This record gives sequence, C-alpha cells and structure tokens, in this order.
Amino acid sequence: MSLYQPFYNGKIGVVDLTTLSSYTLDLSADLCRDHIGGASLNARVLSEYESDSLVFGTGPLTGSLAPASALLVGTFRSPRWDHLCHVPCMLRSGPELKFSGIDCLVVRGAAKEPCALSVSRGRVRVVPLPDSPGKPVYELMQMLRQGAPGFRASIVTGPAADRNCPHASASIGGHGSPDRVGLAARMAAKNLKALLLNGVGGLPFREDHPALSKATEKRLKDSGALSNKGFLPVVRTLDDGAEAAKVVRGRLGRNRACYHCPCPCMTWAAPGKTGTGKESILLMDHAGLAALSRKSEDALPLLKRCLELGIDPLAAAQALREDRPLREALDALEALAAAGTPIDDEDYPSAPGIETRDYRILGGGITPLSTGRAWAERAASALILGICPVFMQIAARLDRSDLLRFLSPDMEEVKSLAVRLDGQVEMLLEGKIPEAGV
Amino acid sequence: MEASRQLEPRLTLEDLRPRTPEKRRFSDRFMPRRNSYILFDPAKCTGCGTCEMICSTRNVAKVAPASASVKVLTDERLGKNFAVLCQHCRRPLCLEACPTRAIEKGDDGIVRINDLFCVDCGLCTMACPEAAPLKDPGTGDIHKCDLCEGDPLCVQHCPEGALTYTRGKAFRWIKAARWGVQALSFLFLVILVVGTFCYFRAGTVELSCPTGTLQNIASSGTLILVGASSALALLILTVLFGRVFCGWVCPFGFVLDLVDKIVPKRIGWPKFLKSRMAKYGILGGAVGSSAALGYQAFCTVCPIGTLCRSYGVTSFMQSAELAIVPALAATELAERRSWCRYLCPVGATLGIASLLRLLKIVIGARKCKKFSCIQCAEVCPVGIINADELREGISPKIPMTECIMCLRCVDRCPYDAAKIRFRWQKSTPGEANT
Repeated sequence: MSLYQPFYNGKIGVVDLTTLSSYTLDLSADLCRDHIGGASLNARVLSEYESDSLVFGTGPLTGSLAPASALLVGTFRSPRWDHLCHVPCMLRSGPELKFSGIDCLVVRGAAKEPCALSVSRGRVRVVPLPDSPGKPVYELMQMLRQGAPGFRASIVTGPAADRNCPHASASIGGHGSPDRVGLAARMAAKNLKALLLNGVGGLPFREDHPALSKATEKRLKDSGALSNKGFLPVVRTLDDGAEAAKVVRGRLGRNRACYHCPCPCMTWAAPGKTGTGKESILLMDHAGLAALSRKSEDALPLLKRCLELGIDPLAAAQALREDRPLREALDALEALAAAGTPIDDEDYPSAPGIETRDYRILGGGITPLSTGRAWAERAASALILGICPVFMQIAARLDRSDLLRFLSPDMEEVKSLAVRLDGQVEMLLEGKIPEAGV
Repeated sequence: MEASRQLEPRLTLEDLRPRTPEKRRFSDRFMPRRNSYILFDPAKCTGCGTCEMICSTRNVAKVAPASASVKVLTDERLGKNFAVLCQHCRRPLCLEACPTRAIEKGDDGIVRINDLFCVDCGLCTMACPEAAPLKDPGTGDIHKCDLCEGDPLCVQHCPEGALTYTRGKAFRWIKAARWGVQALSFLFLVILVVGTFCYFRAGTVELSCPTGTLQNIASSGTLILVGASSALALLILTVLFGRVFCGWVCPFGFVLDLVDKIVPKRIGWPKFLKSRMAKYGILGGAVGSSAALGYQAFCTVCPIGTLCRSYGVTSFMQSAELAIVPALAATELAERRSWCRYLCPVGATLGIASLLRLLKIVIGARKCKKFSCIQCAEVCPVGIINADELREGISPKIPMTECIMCLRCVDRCPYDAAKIRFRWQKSTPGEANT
C-alpha cells in the first residue's frame, strides 16, 4: 500500500478572463503522482488549455512543514523563445494559494478591462481595476490594500508591463521577483494587473512532519549550511558581488525569509537619496542588484525605481551607461520602462556557467549559486517540489530524498519518487509542453 | 420521579464558569509567582512564519497559518517584523472584557479561553492592547496562546531563536541589592546609632538632614555654614544619582516597603488628596512654622527622625513619638509609599535638588513593543509610570523629581526597555535603531 501523501487540496481553479467566469476542477491523484507537482504539473495542466494560457501552481511540499516550502510557479509559453518558462515566486505566495483552497490556477483568455484575480476559500473572483494602469507598483499595492483588503500575498505588474515593455518583471508583493522571461508581459497581455491570494484555510499534515522538519533544519545547521544568512553572503558569492556588497554597506537592515525558510537570503535596506529616506526596500534579486552596482554607485535608488516601475533590474543595468548621474540614470529607467523594444543583448537573460536555455526555462532570475547541470537540476527539482530554488542551492547538503521523505515515510517509495522526479526534471528542462494524456 | 427531580441541585451556567480573578496567595507578596510568557526579539525575526504554521498544527490540527494564536506582521516601510503574542498579563483586559467569562487566568499564570463558554464575539480581541486573541478568518473561532501548557511549539521551532519562553527573571540582583542596602541602613541608622539621620558626626565629618537644616536656618535666623555644608552631602548624592536616598537608604521607606508586603487590600485615596505638590507645601509649612516658633517644628513629628530616635536599642522610647511611625505607616493601606508620594518634606527637598540630577530613567515603548506588559508601571512604588501611554506605544515621560531611583522598573523589564541614562541623552531604548 502506498503511503504517498502530497500536500494538496485536490482542486484546480480555472478562470476565463474573456467571459469573466471561473470554476474549479478536481486534481486527479494520478496526475499528481505522475507529474509530482509544481512546474511539472503546471506544464501538464497547460497542455489542456490554449497555448496563451497562464498557470500558477504549487508543489506537493508547498506550504508544508518542509523547509522553505514557499514556492508558487508561474508557467507559460514564452512567445520570444518558443518554449515553456517557469517563473518561481517566493515569499508567501505559494502557501497562500494552497491555503486558499486550490493548488493550481489556470488563467485563460484576456480581460477587456484591467483586473485582478482574488483567490480565497476555494473561489476565484475577478476584481475590476480600471484606474490601475500606469500606477507605480507601490501605489498599486496601496490601492489594492484599500480596494481589496485582506489578501496576504500578491503578484502584481507595474507600469512597465502596461506599456508593453519587454523587460517588465512581475513583482511579488511589490518587492520584485526572479521574472526575467515575461511573466509580467503575459499577465499584461491578459489585462491581469494582480493576483491576490488569501489563504485562510489549511491542510492536514503527517504526524511526524514537525519532528522531521526540525531534524532537517538541525542537520543543515550542524553542517554549517545555514551559517551565512542574509542578502550579503549570497550576493558576495556572485562574480560581481563585491561591488554590490560595497553599495549596500551601512544600509542594510534586518533579514527577511520566505515562508518557513531557515536561511533568509533577503535583507531590508534603506535606499536613501530618493527623498523618502525612511522607506525600506527588500533586497531579493541578488544578480539584479549586483548588475546595477557594476554600473552605478547609486544602485539602491535605481533598484527602488526598478521596483516601482516593475522592470527587471538586470535589464535596467544592461541598458544603463556606466557612472551616469542619478537623475539621468533614473530618466533612463523611465525611458526603458516606456520603450517597446528589447535591450540589445542576445544573451539576456543568462548567467555565467549555466546553459542559457536552462536558465531561461527556469525564469531567468534564480540566483546562480552553482553552475552547470547541477544548478539546473537542483533548481528544477525545487520548482517541481515547491521549495525555494535559492534555498535548495544554499543548502547544498540537502539531499532530494530529505525532501521526498515529507511525501512518504516509506524509503522504498522515496526511492521510486526520486526516480520519477529525475524524469520530470529532464522533461522540465526540455521546455516542451507535455502531450495531453501523458 | 417528579419529586426526586426537584431535589437535584440546580446548576446554572454561572456555577460552571471559572471565577475570573487570579487567586492571590499571601506568599506572593514576598516571593511573587513568576509570570510565564514568550519573549519576542524583533531583531532576530525574519518573518518566515514558522511560528504561525507550527502553532496552527496544535490549534486546528492542520497547517493553517491563519488559524494560529501568533501572528507575524511586517512593517514594510521600516523593514521590520513584529509578532502579535499573548503576554499573559497580570491583569488581563481580555478577561475583564469577556461577557461570557470564558477567559480565565490559571494559578500557573496562563490566560486561557474556555471553548465551552466562548461565543466568538471577539470582544477580547478588541480589549487586548496587543490584539493577541486572534479571530480565525476561516471559521470565526477565537484562538489565543496557552503557551502549549508550558512548552511552546513556536519557541521550539523558531529557526532564528527570536522567541524565548521565559518564566521571568529567576534572580533579580537589583532587588536583592536594594533590600540589602535598605536593611543595612535601617540597622545602622535606627538600631545601632541614635539620631543618626538627623545629625551625624564622626571626627571632622558632619552629616545632617537637609530639611532639618533648612528648618534650623529658619528657626535660628542665621546661616550656620558648618550645618549647611553637612546637609550638602545628601543633596550632592541626589544631584549625582537622583533620589536614591528615598529608594535605597531611608529607614522609614524600608518600613513602608515591609508594611506593603502585608497590606491585605488597598483602599486608595480620594482624588482631591492625591496631589504630589502637597509635600512641597508641607516643606514650606515646616520651614515657615520653624521660623515662627523658633524651633524645628516638623522634626518633632518627622517619621524618619522619630524612627531613628525612638526605635533603636539605645533610643529614648518616648511614647508620643512611638505612635508616629505606625500612624504614618498606616497610610500604606491607601497606596504604596503614600507618605513618599504626597507628604514627605524630605523627599520634597531632595526632589528640588534632583532638578539638577545627572541621571534619569527612560522606558522605550518601541523597544518593549508589548503594550500589555506594563510590568514597570505595576512595580513602580510611587506610581509615576503611565501605563496608558505604554499601552498606546508611547514612551512614558518619567518625572524624575518624583522618581525614588529604586530601579524596580529596570529590574523587572523583560525587554531591557527600561534603562538608566544621563539626562542629556535624548534617545530611548529602541529608538536609536529606527
């Protein structure tokens, strides 16, 4: 008898923005078993719908007591590279979608007017947002808090996406995201300004999960994997991280972790020089800030502007000339957000030592803490299981079987799950939409 | 059958409900029961929400962070996290607000909700300054921390160690030192040497009571430099450290602190009698009457002086003077240190001297951020810490002319938010970092 227990509600929410209708479907146990979940399951679900559909999904461990179980994956077919792209969204977005009663949300069609989707108690509601286009992300967040209060996590797009900027980047709760492959553009094409998640429900857990969670964390701590916490240690490991470390020196505040993550890799920082000295920004995009720091000493105010406009900091850094005065650099960012033409760089987005196609398939923004196939496999596994891919790399000693034990206490079953996971990782990195019925 | 039914005792819902007030034992006065609670360190919290998650596994047997009894909030403007946690207050406002008396404070100090009687009205969430009883947005149930009956899961699982379960400080060294100094002072000033506080001479060193000296000058009409300089010692001590004499040395203060331990119930003063300016009036009256009568008028009834003169082994044992100390100590029945708060002219003299003090006590409400704790306000013997301000998150302004520098607030604060600072230091604990 199988002891496999994925942490799922067993529901798929489908919303058609053209007709403004929504319904839920049962998520079959067989589908979960075959595709495990997360990015892999998203790809399978997407195969059942139009190719311009957008799927937000969670992994079998998302929201569970497994460490860093924070992930929500946005999956869509990239019009630019003609393969699937999976954008990881961290903080609390994954658990909030799951605790809202559905595991996977399919967004079909396109709305006539800008709107937001509010997911709560197993239902998807379309909220019209007629005044939202052109609003900076922070203003939009404020507007959403007033207009649709109660949501606990959100994915929004900024003015760059409204203006069809190819480098628009989706923003998780206004803090940016590892989206460099067009999730924001796909949302904008659907007139979808925001996804608001309010997880007021819950899911049963296996009795040994709390002890297993604690034991896993202790093992990681003992191995020294969790000794370097915060944005700075992570950014220092990047090739051009020294400049970023110099830029943020003396401006860093407290660390911030995603849902149930024992190793925070984000830190609050005071950008300064923007007239609102007390306001903090969350440093989440390691590679983005490192790239901006290479171009300007005022990387923090520039990053803040990128977050406000909803553009990718890496693209912004490539578009900027070196050592421009801050005012000019800010104007250049405005121009980039307004322009409909991509930056002149065929390799964008890419990371040294990582296959460009793999990097793009996995969203183009996961911090490259390792290189080669190892990076791709660990990141892809994380995207399938619903674990933060950055944590998966930081906790290099964490074996996949450590995580799969949260799905089944039976070691034989864990082994077979590991084999299945390998197969799904291979399929994921091919970037193809699986055929329906597979 | 009908008759036997009538004979059954009639139990109403009221009989089943727990009595609300915590039972106070006499021994609590000397060895107060330690109040259990969870300490939150905002500097360590990363906002991962593990506490919410693990708490919900106990509350609703599910992973459902919205159903937890603890809530992590993030101030995105400041980039800081805060935890909403029950502090198991000594006098819980939620308990008083509950219309069905479903909330009880047990002998172990834990404030619990009795689900049998709770009607989920949510009044407790409104009454609590921390908003610690949390309404489950899914089911509407009220969840409140019960410290997992002494072994909180959130503390066990917090990856950053931002939560600490504490049963209060085991040993309060300031308290021990203060009682020690008070006892030694009493022994020296009252038991061993007669009249020591009023006037003391050892070789060339002369010390005297500043209020007595003022009266002396007024009654004699001449400024005796030796007498004035001998009174300066206490004034200089006050300028340096505030009214430490009142908090640490005064033998009558020691008697009042002892009486405080056995007072069964306080009756309070009428509002019109509660004027801290009265003691300055008494000081003025003492000096004026001394000038008019030609002798130190107040000294004849001064409880500190009479205690020193009449209660030692070599004392005069004058019957009239013997009655003064118990008569004035009885004011403790109304309020703690009533004599010191409203009447003592020695305290008034030192209060005037403390206008030039070098030290002050500051309480940073931002540092404690536990508006329902207010332990500092509760332990202050002269009642100068405004609990309402603390509940509103405002750092209370402490009138140092009234503070007797007993340091009870510093000793008691679990968040290190009460500190001694130099008077010119502007920052309060917790504000320097923001």
